[in-house]
Amino acid sequence: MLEIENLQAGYDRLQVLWDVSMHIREGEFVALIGANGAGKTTTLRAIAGLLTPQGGCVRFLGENITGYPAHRICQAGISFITEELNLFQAMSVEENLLLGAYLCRNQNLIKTNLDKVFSFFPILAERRKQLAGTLSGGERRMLALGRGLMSNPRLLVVDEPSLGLAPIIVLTVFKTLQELHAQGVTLLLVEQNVTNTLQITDRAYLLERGKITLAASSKELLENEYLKETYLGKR
Amino acid sequence: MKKILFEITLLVLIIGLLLSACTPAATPEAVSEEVAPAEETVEEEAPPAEVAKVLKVGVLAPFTGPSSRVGEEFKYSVTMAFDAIDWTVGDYKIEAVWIDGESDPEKATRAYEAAITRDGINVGLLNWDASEVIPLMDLAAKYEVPHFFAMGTSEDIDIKYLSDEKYTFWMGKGWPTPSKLTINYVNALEDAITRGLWSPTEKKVVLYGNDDEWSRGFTKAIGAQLVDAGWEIVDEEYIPIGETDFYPMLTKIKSLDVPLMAGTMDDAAGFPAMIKQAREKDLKCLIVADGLGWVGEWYDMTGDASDYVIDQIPGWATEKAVAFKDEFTERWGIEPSPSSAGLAFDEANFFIKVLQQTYQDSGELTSASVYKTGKEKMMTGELTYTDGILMQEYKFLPETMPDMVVGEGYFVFPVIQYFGGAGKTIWPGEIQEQDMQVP
Amino acid sequence: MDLAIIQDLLMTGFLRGGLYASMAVGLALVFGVMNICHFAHGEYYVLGAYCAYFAFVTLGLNPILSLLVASVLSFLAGAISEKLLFYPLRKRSKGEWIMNAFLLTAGLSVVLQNLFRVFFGMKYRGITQFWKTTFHVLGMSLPADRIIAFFIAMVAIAALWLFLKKTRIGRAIRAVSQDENGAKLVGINLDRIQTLTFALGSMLAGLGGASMLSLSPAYPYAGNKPLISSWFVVTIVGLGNVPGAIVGGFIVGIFESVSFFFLGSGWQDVASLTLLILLLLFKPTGLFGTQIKSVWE
Repeated sequence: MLEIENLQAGYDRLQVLWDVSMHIREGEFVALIGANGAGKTTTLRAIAGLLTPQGGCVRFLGENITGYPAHRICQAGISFITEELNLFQAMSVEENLLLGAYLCRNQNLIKTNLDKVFSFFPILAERRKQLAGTLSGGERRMLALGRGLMSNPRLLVVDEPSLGLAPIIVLTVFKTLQELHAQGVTLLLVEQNVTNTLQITDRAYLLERGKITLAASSKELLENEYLKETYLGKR
Repeated sequence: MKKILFEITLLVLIIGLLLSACTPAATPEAVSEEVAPAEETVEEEAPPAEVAKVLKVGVLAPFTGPSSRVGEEFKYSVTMAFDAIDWTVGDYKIEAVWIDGESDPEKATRAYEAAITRDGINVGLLNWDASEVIPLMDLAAKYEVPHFFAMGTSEDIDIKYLSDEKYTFWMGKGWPTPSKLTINYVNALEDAITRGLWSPTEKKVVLYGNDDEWSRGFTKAIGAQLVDAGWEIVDEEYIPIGETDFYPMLTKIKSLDVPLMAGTMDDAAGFPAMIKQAREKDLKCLIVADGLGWVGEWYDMTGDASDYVIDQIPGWATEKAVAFKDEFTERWGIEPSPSSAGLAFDEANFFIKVLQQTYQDSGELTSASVYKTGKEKMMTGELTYTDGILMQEYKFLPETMPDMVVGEGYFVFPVIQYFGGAGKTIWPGEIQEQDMQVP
Repeated sequence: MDLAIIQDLLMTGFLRGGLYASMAVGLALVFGVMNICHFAHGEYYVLGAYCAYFAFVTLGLNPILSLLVASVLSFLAGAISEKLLFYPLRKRSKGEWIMNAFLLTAGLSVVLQNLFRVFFGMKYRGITQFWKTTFHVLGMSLPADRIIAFFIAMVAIAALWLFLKKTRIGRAIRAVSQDENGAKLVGINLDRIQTLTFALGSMLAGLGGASMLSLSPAYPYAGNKPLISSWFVVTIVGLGNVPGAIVGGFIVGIFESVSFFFLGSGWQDVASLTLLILLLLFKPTGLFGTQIKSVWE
């Protein structure tokens, strides 16, 4: 579904990614793990079009989307939920969700999606008239996820959903992702919380200093010695 | 595609900038003359025959800014006057350097000084804004560049002129001190009262104007004269240039319920707006609006709200004047106003006459020789100009300096009252077309 | 003090404020969505005035049609200048956008003024009035032009409000003002929204210039005064805040009218600037400034 070949990306003259290659098949739940500053977010930004790649190729559903602006990548069916969420703070929850369906002109479909999101996150239905900026951290993350789902994405890309959340809420978020996956949504997840991540995903890539150093199924990775030492920590 | 678009944009911008650079500020003659001062010194010491003899005349006017219409008319009139002599006096070529004062004292001073030091102007001519005159007088004195017929006028300028001999480089003003002209309004009004044409309930007046040297000079002059005639000044209002909404001011004036308001504005957009709004607000008073007719299109803006408004403006009275007006309109596409284009034309011609006299007397045209002729011939009343299109005679006398002789046969503006956009002379009696009427 | 005078002052201030509001709304919109400190706003006002003049006087169209022509043309002019100037600049500048865009508007203002001058000459193109009627409101007689210009400004603002609040595109404009990346990620084409926003801002200015034609004639430099006044308003209320700009327009209108009455004689500028200084001292974000960035919430 998503194929990335030899992706090079960075900021101005500072190159962050070197020859990153990965792929995601329809219906998979894939994680991209790595330490702080390894280039995980950069990879996602390059996929979502917030950053123009310096080289390499990104294909989605057979279409070459390398260097597309973000709005066209969204149109192609990739929904990216950033680490900072990028919510419309001064708008209500409902308006945020409606904007998530900006590209959809079918009112019925929008209505169905809205109901779907509300059934996923009942708290959002309760707060539909409240301004996004006034929500709690967990609610905001749910809203961001909900907004991402409103466009009926083929692929949902989520950056650090557990960041800054209380452990109990982190669990809820992970559960939600799992549920989404169960409903057939293809997911690409970036996380620092490696153990939890590997427990819910199918496969994972390890990104180190801008390069993919490991790629295997999550089960294998949980047993990987190197990973145990450096990322999972000796318990 | 994007690149092409960008290039087109760049081109448009450059053209725009070029146009803007060419239009008002500098003519081709004025640019690329950075070596001018050097040339000048050579000329003064020993004029070699091969160097073309040139006299550079710095014409100062507001070419941009709120009064730029006046600047435009000045430029066209001066051009027409010098075209008639083919820009030549004797074996001297006359070059104009257009100096943009922008109606801003600071910018005018800087531009004028640059014109002297960089462009090397020998003589200065004209000006419109009173606010820029005071510092310019010092510049003229400092660099000994005689400046002719600046129209900026106020009592302060006269006081400064008389304070020191060096200010004689400010060679005589092109527009007399306000009080010499405003007295005509007072006379016209008093005349109407004595003849029973007008019977104001109380002799109370509100003075108004733009917040600048000219307006304040004007209101000061007419205010004093009105007080002498028994009037009481109940309020004075000054509005920044550029303002076109006068409702707040008019509300205030209306609440004072006076029979007369008198003032002037040099903002050609604001003045008609004020007159129109005065009628909209149903002000019953008589309005003296000095200079309403300065810009040709005023009546399009006021419509008949200008009925009964009193102004002082010369008309295109003679055949020659009408011919000038027609030629001007045809050549430049705008209608000249007598008080700016007309006066500038006459004064440019007077200036040419001074240059010709200088050349005849001394055989050379330099700052010094022009100054000498101006001082010895023009300021003494020996050299006058009688071929003008507006006034019978432009004449300076030692006792009137820095002003011209004002009055019948000399510099005089008739007092008129507008009806349907046309001015009818109501004063002085000898040339009166009709009696003053009261709204 | 006479009640009639107070009434008169308020009405005067209200009419004055209406124009300020509609000009300031355009400024606020352009700043809020595009981060442009727009110093060529006055030139679009002048353009609108010219269009209305030529439509009304030269072509002899009826007033409403003339105003429509003026708003359509200034809308187009805004769109074209955005595509031709600001769009390429945005592609080229990254961190320095605010400064670059400001300089571009300042330059554009000079270029447009001089283009007006070259094409239309230093002529004052004004009209006596669009409508000959006079309205009587609360015992005051007011010319139809003032009242109608006021209502046009209000209708334009109301229409803008409806557009921003109720339509998909309007919601997208608000979204861009609040979070550009968020807007991109939900599929909003930023370039189109920016062009549209600039065009809308220009249209508001053009409509202002057109409807005020009887008050201030069209001439190359006519835009300076409305530009300064509307900047004064947006500075007072906080940049990029549309509802603030509306309220601010009226506050400034009424404040000027009242301060003129009581101070007069050239002191009204001092009064306005004192107000500005005090506000900036005690509330630097402006009267309605908030931490959350949004054009109209």
